[in-house]
Amino acid sequence: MTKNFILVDDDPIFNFLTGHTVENSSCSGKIYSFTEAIEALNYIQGLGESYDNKTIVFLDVRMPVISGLDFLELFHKKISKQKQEVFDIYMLTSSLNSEDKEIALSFDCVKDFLSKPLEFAQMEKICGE
Amino acid sequence: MYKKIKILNKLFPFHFIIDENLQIIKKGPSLKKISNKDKNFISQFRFIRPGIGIEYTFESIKGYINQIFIVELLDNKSVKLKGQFIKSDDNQVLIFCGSPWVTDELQITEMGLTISDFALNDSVVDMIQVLKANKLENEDKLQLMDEIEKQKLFYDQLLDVLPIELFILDKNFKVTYHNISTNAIEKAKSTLFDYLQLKGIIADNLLNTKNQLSEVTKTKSKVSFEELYQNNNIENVSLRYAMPMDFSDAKESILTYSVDITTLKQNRDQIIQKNNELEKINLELDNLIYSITHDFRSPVLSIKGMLNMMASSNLINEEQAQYCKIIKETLQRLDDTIIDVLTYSKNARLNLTFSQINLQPIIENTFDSNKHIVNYPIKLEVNISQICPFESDENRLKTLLSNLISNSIKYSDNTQLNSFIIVNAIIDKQFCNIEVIDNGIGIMPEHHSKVFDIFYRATSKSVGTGLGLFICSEVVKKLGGSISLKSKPYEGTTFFIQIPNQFKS
Repeated sequence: MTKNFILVDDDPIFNFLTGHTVENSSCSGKIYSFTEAIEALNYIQGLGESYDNKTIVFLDVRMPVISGLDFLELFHKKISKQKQEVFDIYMLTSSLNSEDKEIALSFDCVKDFLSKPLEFAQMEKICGE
Repeated sequence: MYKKIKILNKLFPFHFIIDENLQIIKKGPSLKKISNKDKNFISQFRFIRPGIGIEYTFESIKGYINQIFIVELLDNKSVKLKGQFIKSDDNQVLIFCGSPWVTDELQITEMGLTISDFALNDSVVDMIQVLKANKLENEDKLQLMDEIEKQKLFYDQLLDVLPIELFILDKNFKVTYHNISTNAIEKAKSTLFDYLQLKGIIADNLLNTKNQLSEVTKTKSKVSFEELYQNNNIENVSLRYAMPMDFSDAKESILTYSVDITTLKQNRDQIIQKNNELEKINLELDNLIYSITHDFRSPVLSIKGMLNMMASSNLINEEQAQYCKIIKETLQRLDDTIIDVLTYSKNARLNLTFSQINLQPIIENTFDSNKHIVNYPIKLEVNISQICPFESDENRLKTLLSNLISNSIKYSDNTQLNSFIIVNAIIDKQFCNIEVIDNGIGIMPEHHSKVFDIFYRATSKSVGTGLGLFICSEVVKKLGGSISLKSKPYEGTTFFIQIPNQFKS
């Protein structure tokens, strides 16, 4: 099954690393990288209501201007309920703050809270879901 | 006649008898003792009483026969005799019956007399007794007055020395007593409020003082409040107490005193200000630690990812792969340190949150996520016995167990074939007692007292951060418990932890 991937991290190295892991996984699909969360949100909004390709979002928590948590709130507000279900969001973070984890997991669209860097085994598990 | 004289001598030892020519023909024995032998009445006596109208003639004296006479001995002026003249049956002579007029016991000795010179019936004898008693009583009274005066001085001085201003007020707040050595109070026409105004009390505060004192009168209860004074731009603060005076006979009075607390208040304000500053700095420091750990971790993790990528590619040879492994291990230590610093700061700043804890899965999960540290098997045994639920701070307990269990794994003995870790826990209503036992490399005795110190590492071979056991002891402190260890090199180590059970049945 083809899945699309959206990578959001202000550090391009992580986007590169995560992209590499995705490319080497059993998943196949397009990869879109963003270093600013607002661009990623604009992209998702631009996809139109009929967009229904399962899409995995790897989202960093701590980012300047709009943080990962801000992104989740905006996503929840601006994207229609039906469209939201197309997206599985995985938080990818170096944060050790358990509060961040609690807040993130309170959003339905957030599937898991993972520690950087994304391990190959974790990627395979996500592919299988 | 002889018999009569004898009676006369006995009854009136100070009597004398004069004839019509005012010649003394007879004197009582006691009078003889204190007078000369002159026979002439006029040259020996002078009338004190009666003062006016009396003449020194037999007939004149006879006319005053029913009156009290006081006569003075001319050559011994300390002697005055008090008595009366009586006529003899034949009218030939006048007999003076009397005795010395005494107002003071001393007079008797001055006159050269003793008690025995007086007739037994003489009231002078009684009077002397009374005088003596009075004198003693007076002496006692004087002594008592002296003592009271001394005590008054003592208390006055004591009240003077005390660093308080003490007032007793009547129901109109007029000062009936004060211990202040200035004369401001007299100038102030004597109500407390006038005095406080002179002292420079701030108007609002004066109003408050008035209200508070009225409250004391109304409710008969004790009050205390602060008063602010301003004098030449210098501010002073006093703490005033006021209460009804319900002791002694001072009914309806108010006792009030004030203490200058300006310095205390200044010190307190300074401490509050410093504390606020410190709290702010602490918060900034916590935020700093949090930001730093995040900012440090990010690049560490991205290098780690790049290394993973490199190691899994076919582009590098065996030697380079070995380098990658070493870099990764070094990075892991840096990451561990960052995480430990964060854990430490979390323990220090976050409040305790208690919840019910199931130890078994915590221990097993901790072991599972750490057992990969070594590449040989280690056996885990968990024995938990509990008679009631266990409540404590779960995150801190996890930190504690994670540090101890990962230590047991890190410092297990790789020459042993049967490495094991045993975790025993006994939970009762008061405590949770945990033992973490291993058969690892152990700790040399000289390190036992230092392993809980910050950044202390027992060996240079140690792969730890020097923070793990320090964090453990800090966590245990925060939980109100204790931690200790027993260890023998090459045999193993046991850590003992006691944590209060917060469970309330």
